[in-house]
Amino acid sequence: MKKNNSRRFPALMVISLLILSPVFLLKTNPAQASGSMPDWQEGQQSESTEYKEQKDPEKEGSPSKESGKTDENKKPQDTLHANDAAQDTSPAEETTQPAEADPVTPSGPEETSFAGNSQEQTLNGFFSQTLFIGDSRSVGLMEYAGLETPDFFASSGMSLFKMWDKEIEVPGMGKMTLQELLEQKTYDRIFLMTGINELGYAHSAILKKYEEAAESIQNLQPQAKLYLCANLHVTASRSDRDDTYNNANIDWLNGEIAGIADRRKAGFLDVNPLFDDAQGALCSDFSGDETHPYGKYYQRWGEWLYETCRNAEALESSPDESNTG
Amino acid sequence: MVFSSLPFLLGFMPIFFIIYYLMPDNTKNGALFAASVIFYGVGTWRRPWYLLLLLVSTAVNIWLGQAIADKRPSILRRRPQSAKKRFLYLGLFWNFGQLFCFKYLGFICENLNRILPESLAVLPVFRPELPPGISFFTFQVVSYLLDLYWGASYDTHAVVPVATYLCMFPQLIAGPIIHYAEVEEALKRRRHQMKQLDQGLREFCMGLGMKVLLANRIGNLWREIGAIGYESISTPLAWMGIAAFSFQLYFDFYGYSLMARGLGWMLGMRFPQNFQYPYISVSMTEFWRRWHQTLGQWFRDYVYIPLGGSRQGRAATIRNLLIVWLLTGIWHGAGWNFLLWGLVLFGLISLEKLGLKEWLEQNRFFGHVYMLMAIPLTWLVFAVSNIGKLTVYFGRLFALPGGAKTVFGKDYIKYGKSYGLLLLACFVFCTPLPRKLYRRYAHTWTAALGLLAVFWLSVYCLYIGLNDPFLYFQF
Repeated sequence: MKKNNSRRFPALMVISLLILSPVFLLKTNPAQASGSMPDWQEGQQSESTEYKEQKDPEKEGSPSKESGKTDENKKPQDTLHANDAAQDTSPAEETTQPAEADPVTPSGPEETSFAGNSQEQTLNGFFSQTLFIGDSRSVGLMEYAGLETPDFFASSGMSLFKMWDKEIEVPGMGKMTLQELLEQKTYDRIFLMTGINELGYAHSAILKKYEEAAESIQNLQPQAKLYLCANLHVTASRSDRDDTYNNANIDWLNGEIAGIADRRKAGFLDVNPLFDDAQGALCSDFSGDETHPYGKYYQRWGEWLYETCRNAEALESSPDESNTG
Repeated sequence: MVFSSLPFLLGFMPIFFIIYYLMPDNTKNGALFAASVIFYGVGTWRRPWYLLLLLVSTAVNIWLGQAIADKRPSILRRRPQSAKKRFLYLGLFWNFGQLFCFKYLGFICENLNRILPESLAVLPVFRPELPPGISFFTFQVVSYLLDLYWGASYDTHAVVPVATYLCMFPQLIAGPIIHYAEVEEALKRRRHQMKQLDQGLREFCMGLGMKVLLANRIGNLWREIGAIGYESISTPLAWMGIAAFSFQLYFDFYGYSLMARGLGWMLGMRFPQNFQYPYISVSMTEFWRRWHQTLGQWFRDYVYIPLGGSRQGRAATIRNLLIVWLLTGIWHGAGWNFLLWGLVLFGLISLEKLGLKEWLEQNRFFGHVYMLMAIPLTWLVFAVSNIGKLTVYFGRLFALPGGAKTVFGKDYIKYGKSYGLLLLACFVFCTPLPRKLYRRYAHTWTAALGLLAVFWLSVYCLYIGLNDPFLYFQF
């Protein structure tokens, strides 16, 4: 009887290995199931869970079926070219470019331009009819920037591909889809801060989804000023070792977002100079996970948004000045 | 290669054991040694010289062992008696020298550069990536040489068994640290029974589950807190964070040790256990008898007792404890926080030696309360290498004024919803309760199917990318 017992588990294990191993082995993604000796430094600074899943547009029902083009799009020279192209057609001359209209000195987030209750009131007053739509960085703004009046439709890992299907708990309003939120309430400003989580998709699919999202938001809230926000860089060390979430790809995407902003007459905001080091990567001193800024820096980000938008909107409202300038 | 990876679980391990069981008994050690070389080689393929270093070091230590253990009558010896000591010193120099160069030289140079005048502060800071398992290998091989020097009658000319002992993959990377005496008999001749295979597989599955399903997942909370920044966490979240790290470290290393032990059983060997419910201890002394037991035994046998232990008066005992705990601290890492951590442990254990331990053992409730504070707080010193950040974290733990910046006051509710159940599960699995329950039903279909589910759930988690390296690999 005992003999039989001791054979039971090994037998179950062998049978299950024979049946299930091929399922996992045939689909193993070498990047995820690396057999290399772990590097603790890497492990400690490993990516946020929101970036872990490599996405398959086919599986996700992505609108892109150009799987052949995906690899092409991911070639570094292509991304660089795209970035260059974006720079060539840089919307620098556009009045919808608050960053250009009022360049923000990359002084680093340590320098808080203002603080205290009265300034918080100023910020909260300015953003009182504002909606932030986005991923973990927007969640960071919601939790750590001290902004109490705006609405946030934000969750970690928010993806353009699921943005319209997902129900999210909007503080003070309950659980709802983005469509429901935009139909229920009217906003003066809407910030769209997303894109980085999509970098695993075919690039053409990302751009299509992004443009569709911008269009839908503008259709649902035509009175609102839409700001498309650049994605934040990652640190140089993460960028160097990550084939997908690296600064070359992020810069390419930001360039394309600037282009979309240009076409759709929306604002484009690039906060990166505030957090970048000399190499144009997220400064490692500002981040604990190489991807997100520390909580204490979101307040400065919120202030930067206020300053930049206020200046841009002031310029827009005085067309003579901007024309002569 | 790590145990908790798909290439190991679905490739290396099944293939190795099929070949291993099919081979004749007299070639099994050779197969194990060869597999261990492949295991290490695959893991270090980017730095192949680390494999070369392992092989050279193994050969050098086998030769040194033979030289130290020369048991022929003095008249027949090629070398005089005093040469034994020279060979031992050579062995210590060779092994600790490597450890020193890889692990401590950079730290020392960096700190010397800080205190030296500017004109002299030009020492190169050499901080290479550590060869995997170097600290464990060094301690194990030193135990082998010291045992021989002190008269152990090992068969040093059995080259393949000794090489297998030094390099066998189940314990090469993160222990347990094994004395040659514990496996010598099994290395010479061992029986492979279905019962051992069964037990080994079960232990392996339990260890894998602890690593993948508990340690990796609860470790995310600690990582998220690091990403927020310690200045911006509320006091309840600070406590949740340090609890998460304490659980992560335990299940990570205990899980690894269980997997290693399971593999040992499957190879027909009995490896010593490394953990015995350390978190139920009522004193720090007891905790360190239950935590990483083979390391504690190594320090006891090769440092504390040779220094005189506790038999030379109170002052000498305290001195010996100080040496042991400072060494324990820096064994875990070259950093001031590890030295500080060793000092804190020394302080607590010395206090306990002076009478506190007896009182805690008599008042077990207070003992548990004391350890409930002492364990996470000492792990905090261990976990946070930057002294400034450590101070901030302590400030957040005790809500001291000054350290907080833009705290999200409801963060503990948010993370409590995500991690509350997992924290509770970790707490339960720190007690002997799950093991008792398992023992009761071990031979039922339910237990077998449950363990199988743990194995495949872990594989699935690894498949979708939820993996982390073992914390103890950094040592």
